[in-house]
Amino acid sequence: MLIESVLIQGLISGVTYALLACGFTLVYGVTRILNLAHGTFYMLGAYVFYVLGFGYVGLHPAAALIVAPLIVGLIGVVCYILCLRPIIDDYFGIMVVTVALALIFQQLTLIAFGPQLIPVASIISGSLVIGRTGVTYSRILSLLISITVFFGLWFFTIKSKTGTALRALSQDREITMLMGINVKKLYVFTIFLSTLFAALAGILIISSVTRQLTPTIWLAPLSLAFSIVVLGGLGSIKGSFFGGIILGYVENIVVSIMPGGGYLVDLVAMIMVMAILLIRPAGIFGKYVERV
Amino acid sequence: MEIKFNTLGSILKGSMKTWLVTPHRLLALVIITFSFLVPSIKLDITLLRSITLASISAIFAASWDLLAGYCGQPNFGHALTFGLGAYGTALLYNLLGLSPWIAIPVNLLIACVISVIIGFPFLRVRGPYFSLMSMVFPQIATSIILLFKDVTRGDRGLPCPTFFPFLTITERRIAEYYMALLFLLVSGIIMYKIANSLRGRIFISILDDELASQSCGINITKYKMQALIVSNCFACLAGSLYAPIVNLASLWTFSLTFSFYPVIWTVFGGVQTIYGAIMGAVILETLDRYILNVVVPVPQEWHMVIFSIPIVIFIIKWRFGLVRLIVEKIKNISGKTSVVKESHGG
Amino acid sequence: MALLHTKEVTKRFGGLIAVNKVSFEVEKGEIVGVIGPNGAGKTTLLNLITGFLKPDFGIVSFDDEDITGWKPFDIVNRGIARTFQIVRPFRHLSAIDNVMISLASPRSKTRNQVNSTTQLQEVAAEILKLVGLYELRYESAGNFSHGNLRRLEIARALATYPELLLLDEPFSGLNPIEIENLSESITGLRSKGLSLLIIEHKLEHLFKIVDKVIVLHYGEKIAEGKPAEVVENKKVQEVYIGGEE
Repeated sequence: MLIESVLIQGLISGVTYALLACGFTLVYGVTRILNLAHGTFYMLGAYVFYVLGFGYVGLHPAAALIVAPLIVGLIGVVCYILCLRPIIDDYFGIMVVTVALALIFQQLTLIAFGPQLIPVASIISGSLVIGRTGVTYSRILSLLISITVFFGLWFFTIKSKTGTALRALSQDREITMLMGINVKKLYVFTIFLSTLFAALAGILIISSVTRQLTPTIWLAPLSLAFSIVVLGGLGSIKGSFFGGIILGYVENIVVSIMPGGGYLVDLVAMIMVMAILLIRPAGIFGKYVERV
Repeated sequence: MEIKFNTLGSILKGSMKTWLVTPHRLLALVIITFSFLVPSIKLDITLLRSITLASISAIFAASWDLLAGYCGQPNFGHALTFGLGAYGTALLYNLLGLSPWIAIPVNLLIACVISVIIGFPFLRVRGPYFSLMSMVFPQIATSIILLFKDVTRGDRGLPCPTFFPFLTITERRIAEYYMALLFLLVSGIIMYKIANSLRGRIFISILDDELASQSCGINITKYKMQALIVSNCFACLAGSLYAPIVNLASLWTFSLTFSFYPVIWTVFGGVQTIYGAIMGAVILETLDRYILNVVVPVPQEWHMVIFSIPIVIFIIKWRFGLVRLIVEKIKNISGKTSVVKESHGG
Repeated sequence: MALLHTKEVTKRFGGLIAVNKVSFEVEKGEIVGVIGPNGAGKTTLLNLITGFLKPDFGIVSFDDEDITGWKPFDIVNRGIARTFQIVRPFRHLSAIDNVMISLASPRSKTRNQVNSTTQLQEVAAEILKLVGLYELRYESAGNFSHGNLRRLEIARALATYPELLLLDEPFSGLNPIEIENLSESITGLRSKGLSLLIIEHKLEHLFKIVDKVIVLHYGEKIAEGKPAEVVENKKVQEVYIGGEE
């Protein structure tokens, strides 16, 4: 395939996958919750977007793009308050509950919408020609939004008071709690952001790349997101960004070069994960991880 | 192999009389005897089949409990080695003409190798990496199956021969019933013995506090690896029994939903017990396969929802597990004051 | 020849130097105390010796062998055991099972020469007798009082048959009578051939049982010597009495 195509598409999908990964790593870093249901919000984001923008409600796609993540963010917060907060110290129970929630939402979506693939139109139609390859405006929009959100988050964690509190929490939970910071509210806020990012990533990728919607659409991207998180470093936003770009490229290269590459991407990603756990378990930007 | 020899030996050596006297064990014996007599009482092929498959699921569930409930490594992709057993048997027959009986040890060997390959990078580091990536492994297996769809027939599933080609259908179902029950009995006893041995206690120490366990001189990676291998081998065994009985190896056996069922069964029955996982699986599977399919038909998509929601409530409200609760009640009636005293005395 | 020898052991956390070129020795049969204000790096030093942290610089040697950077369980099997500042029992196991875990370590196995679980239980019961937990041996550790949990920690450490035992604030949360009993047990252990390194804040009680004391302040060793000498030391007095407050 064309090098330009691989270079550009790799970056675009990479950054958007990074957005998905970033939400997951943010939640883990701040609250130590391993939200295995993260992918569900990716899927729900896309379905809510579809229902709002193209389905029964008939909002303008741009409006749907803004409203859908907010709605899904709220769903995430409700799930957290009802199901996760009561058992916040039980890491085992949290993992089980999040997987259960993921499957419950998946099945309910399946029941409501059926298993068939629903085609999703892109937000903006038309494309641009760069070099010898074409890039849809939709993908460019996805790239722009993802990068904006990333840098917004980046500045937020560095400049703002809340952001600094989040960084403090991810470094040392006990001391931060002792400093009188309202940890409860921060947790809710983090979950909201994380879910919002997942939903946004879902909308962007499905409307620009995948173009189809089905209740199990979240499995493959979540696997990729997990790989990104381990590669970049659990809890590191920078790590998600760069890890995402790396794996975005890897995905594109594997699909372009190898016959049947689409089926090999998760194997390649897994081999990379195993390698990094052997060489540098903390990931590229992660804190030190002990070898036991 | 060393583990299995020791436990079988101790069963034979131990005094059967004192082992049976306690009421909860008496109850277990009654249940086991009853299940062996079911075909003589009521020859309902559908019911038999449900219990057969439920028994296989029970092996699957118990293997999850050993790794998760005892050693603290919840595995959300446990279907990996189950599917390996199923597809292994089917592929070995379709490619090499091997009988499903011979496929069993071959599959187990492959399961051991895969466990070591996966365990080595993931169990050696501190952090939730194993549980995190566990969901991904069955998906990789699914991708590989789809990649080689010429050989594996992709999502149509691969036909698998039966264990008993020389029997009629009805005879076959009865034979499969006893076979599953027997395998469950042996597997359950082995896993229960491992769980209650010193090794099992070391697993629990790892669950409770990895740092403290290390400070007792325990090489926790070695023990986690052992737990992973045993857990995966029994799951693989279950899969190797499953495919020839349903005559099909399908991608369902690698699905995330299927990976989560042993979690549901174990939580329902009670984690860290082995018997909880077994009873939970038998009860819920019979409910699922027989009552929700035949007696009161419910669309398949609803099954997972019906089972998952109570589990979420279980975990939030109380984590004991129903079967475990009942067994503890019985133990208390029999006059045992300290639960813990019973479990290690012998 | 010293049993334990640390040479310029250093540990940094980002910009903070938690332990700064600390060198000291513990002779065979000695009881050494480690004191210093909170945050002085005492527990970090302990973690560096026992392998829970890797030093950025410096050497830890035990019985003439370089154990720097060894994994914690290897160090335990080499002969150094420790307790934790905040107790870490195995809550799902009984007291006797807690001790059995240590007995399952390779080091204990070679010293025990027993194989069956029942025999191991007898050994565990004996160790629990030493710390006064024999009556409660079948009770779940999750139900133990704080004092009993401390005793259990020590029993677990002893069950690894250590040559050197490191105690992290063993008197914390104990009343004076309990401290007396524990002090007796500690000196009793020394007469059985054990060497000890004890981190403590309760100086009055600590000084009664130690042969020498090391004082840490902001990660540096500022004094070393017999309790009486150290108390006279001007720097130590500043650190404990005068200073920033």
